[in-house]
This record gives sequence, structure tokens and C-alpha cells, in this order.
Amino acid sequence: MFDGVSLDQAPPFEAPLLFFLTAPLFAIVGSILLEYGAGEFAILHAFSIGFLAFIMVGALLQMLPVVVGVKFERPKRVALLFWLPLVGGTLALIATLGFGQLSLALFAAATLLLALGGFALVTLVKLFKAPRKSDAVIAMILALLSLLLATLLGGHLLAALARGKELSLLPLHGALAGFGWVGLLIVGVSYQVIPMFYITQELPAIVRRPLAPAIFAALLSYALFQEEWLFKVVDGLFLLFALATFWRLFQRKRTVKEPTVAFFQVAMIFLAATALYGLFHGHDWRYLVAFGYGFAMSVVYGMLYKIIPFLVWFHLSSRGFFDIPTMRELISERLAWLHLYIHLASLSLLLTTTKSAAPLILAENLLFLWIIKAPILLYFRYKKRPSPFATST
Amino acid sequence: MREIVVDTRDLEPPGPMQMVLSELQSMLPGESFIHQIHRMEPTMLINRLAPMGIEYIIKRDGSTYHIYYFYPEDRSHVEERIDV
Ligand code: HEM
Repeated sequence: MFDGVSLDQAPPFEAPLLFFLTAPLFAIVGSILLEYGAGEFAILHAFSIGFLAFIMVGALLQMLPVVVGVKFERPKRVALLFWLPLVGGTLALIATLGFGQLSLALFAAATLLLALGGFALVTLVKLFKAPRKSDAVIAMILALLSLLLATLLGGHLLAALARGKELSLLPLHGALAGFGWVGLLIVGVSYQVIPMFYITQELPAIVRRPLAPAIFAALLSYALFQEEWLFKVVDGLFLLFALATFWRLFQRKRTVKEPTVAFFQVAMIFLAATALYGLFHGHDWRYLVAFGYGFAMSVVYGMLYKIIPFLVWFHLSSRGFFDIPTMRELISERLAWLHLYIHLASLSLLLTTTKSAAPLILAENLLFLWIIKAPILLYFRYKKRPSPFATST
Repeated sequence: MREIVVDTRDLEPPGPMQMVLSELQSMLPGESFIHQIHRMEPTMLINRLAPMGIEYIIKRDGSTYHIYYFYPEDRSHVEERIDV
């Protein structure tokens, strides 16, 4: 007779949570920088590292053990070991790029290399050892390789800034960080998360299998040869991903309208629009905003509204608690819709008058924190109770 | 051996995992195994079961996945039944 679920199987939820909660705080920092007109690169990195990288590192810490079977020894300590330099490095980078604190440039480079470079290396080594490499895992490996390269290039840019030299390789850093790291990671995570949470079929193998390697190959060729048309190949491949994923979400069996699905649909529409803009217009700041805020951040919000309640359920159930509220009850659907509307409003302002978006970005991230408060508090409330397994077995 | 069929293709999380975990309560060595029908590889579930000594086989049929869970000593029986 089967007698109980292993108690310590799931990695502690505290590890990813630390990152998930830091991210909206950095988005708030970003909105304040925007309001007060700090340098555009400081604002860019408040969102690209402060928000997106924090979420993605947190998501990987959580997903790798349970989805890929890759384990971190002492997960809480590992999380803190990456979190501390990542916070310090992001703040130092913002100070360097936004307020001309060039004395902090090398500190920023060192801490970010330690945090992001270190995380990428450790995770890559673990992923290479994974027994089975699904298409999602391959996309994650390529995303982490891109992160490693982008961080090294970022360090190189900072060293040049500190010495007052001209910046070389700037577009390469941006391309690898944005489309390699952020883009490919979302591709990999979507392969896993969309069929699971939204009851869709997987993307057809003919798209799914070659997509991430093709994007990575096009990005690397662009890095090597610096031919603009190679970048358009990247745009074309993301367009394919956006359309295929949108189609799957459109076809899904369950037709109940849910805010988290809508976030994903908005994300795919923006990704398709970004790619078309890149193909026919060019790669300017609007392209960056549409990709980063319209595509990547929409995916993140949509994903977290599913993943956070799911993880709460997963962790509590693996400790033997089954009397907890359902996932749907844990996230207020009404407020999540409101979040989506504010998100769309911030996005339209960002793309037009830019600066006036600041208060809305602030509001949307405060609302986000408010919405995820319920499942998180529930987790900590149950955690204090003794596990029913401990008494029954 | 008795085959316990669990079709989770149209269930949202955490439904699929819940159903398989609950059927696992009645899976007995030498007597029964679970056959889950799902829309993807249930990786989280598999990684949750592996440390408990439950083994599995995945068979793919187009866009449908058939996952068989059983006790290690029943592997040959299950393989015979599902023809691998
Ligand atoms: C991880 C996510 C990151 C993303 C998405 C990202 C994105 C970008 C983008 C798009 C640009 C502008 C490129 C251009 O104008 O062509 C840029 C510039 C820059 N990035 Fe990053 N970056 C990331 C991480 C980093 C890291 C880790 C560092 C430092 C180690 C860094 C340091 C810089 C520097 C110094 C610049 C140039 C700023 C200037 O021109 O004054 N970035 N980044």
C-alpha cells in the first residue's frame, strides 16, 4: 500500500518567492526613475534585470527541480547567494547608468557577473546533466548561454564606461540579453506552462523542435557577422512563435475568459507586432518597449497569476494539506482583470508619451503585490501547522 | 493485473496531479497499475513520484500521452500488458 508523499521532495517556496517579490519593487523603482527623468539605460535595466531577470531566476530555481529533476543542494542558501549580489549589482548599475556614478561601474560589473554569470554557469552545468532534454530544456539551455554571453558583454561595456572609452559591441549585448535570454527563456517556459495551465495542445513538433535552436543560431550569426538581415530572421522566428502560440490559446477547449490567458494573448499580439515592426520598420526604442513591456512583462504577470497559486497548492499538498482553497479562489479574478487594463494603459502611454506612464506602472505593480498577497499568506499560515503526514504515519 | 485508467486531458492543474495521487492510494504491488492519459508529459508529477520508488513508462500517440505508473516489481507485467 502506498503510504504518503515524501515531505522534503519539493524545493522550498521561499527561494523563488524572494525573487518574485523583489521584481515588482524594482519595477516601482523603474517607474520612479521614469517619473524623474533618470537616464534611459538606468530605467531599461531596472526593468530588464530588476524585474525580468529576478522573475526568471526565481522561476528557474523553482522549475528546474520539479520539471527537469535538477536539484540544488541547500536551495534557500543558494537563492540568497544569488539574490544578494543581484540586488547590489542592479542598484549599482542603475546608479552608474542613471546618475553617472562611474566609480560604481566595476562594482556593478563584478556583482552582476557573480550573480547572473554564476547562476547561468551553475544552471547550465546541471542542465547538461539532465537525463532527458525536452525542447523546453533545450530552449532554457540556449537562454542561459545567451545570459552568460550578455552578462560578459555587459561587464565589458561597464569596464569601457569606467575608463571613459567608447562603447563597442553594444547592439550585441542588447540582442543577446533581450532576444537570447529573455526571448528564448519565455519560449522554453511557454512550452512547459501553456499546455499545462491552459489545456492547449503543445505546439506542433515541426515548429517546437527547431524554433529555439534556430533563433539562437540566427542571433549568434548576427553577433558574428553583424548583418542586419540576420536580425530580421530573428524577428521572423519570433513572429512564428507568437502566431503559433496565439493560435493554440485561441483553440483551447475551455472558453471561460480568464485574465491570465488574456495576459498571454496580449503578450503574443505584442510579440507579433514587435516582430512585424522590426521586419518592416527597424529596431528603435519603441521596438524595445513593445518587446520588453508588451511581450515579456505581460507573459510574466500572466504566468505568475497561475504559478504562484499552483506552487502554494503543490507545496502544501506535498506536506499533506488537502483542505486548502482552490487555485482560482486564491487569486482575485476581478482585480487581475483590473491589472490587465492598467497594464494596457501603461503600455499605450509608454509607447506614446513615455514619461506619463510612470504613475500607472507604479499602480500596476502595487496592485500585483496586493493580488498575490492572499496565496502567499496562506502558504505561510499553513506552513506553521504540523504536517498531517507526521501524525498519521 | 488491474489497469486503473485516469483521463486527465481536459483537467486544469492541479486536477491531473490530484487525480493520479489519489488513485495511487489504491494501487497495490502485484495487483494494479495506473494508466494516465494526458495532453503533455506530466513532468512535475513524475519527478514527484520518482523518489517514492514509483516507476513509469511514457507512450506517445500523436498529441496524446499515455503514462503508466507501477511498482518496480511489476514492470514486466505492465510492459507485457501495454506491449512495449
Ligand atoms: C539581463 C538582462 C539585460 C537586458 C535585457 C539588457 C538589455 C540592454 C539593452 C537593450 C541595452 C541597449 C543596447 C543598445 O542600445 O543597442 C543595454 C545596454 C547596456 N547594458 Fe544591458 N541588459 C541586461 C543586462 C545587463 C548586465 C548584467 C549588465 C552589466 C553587467 C548590463 C550593462 C549594460 C551597459 C553598460 C549598457 C550600455 C549603457 C550605455 O550605453 O550607457 N546589462 N542593455
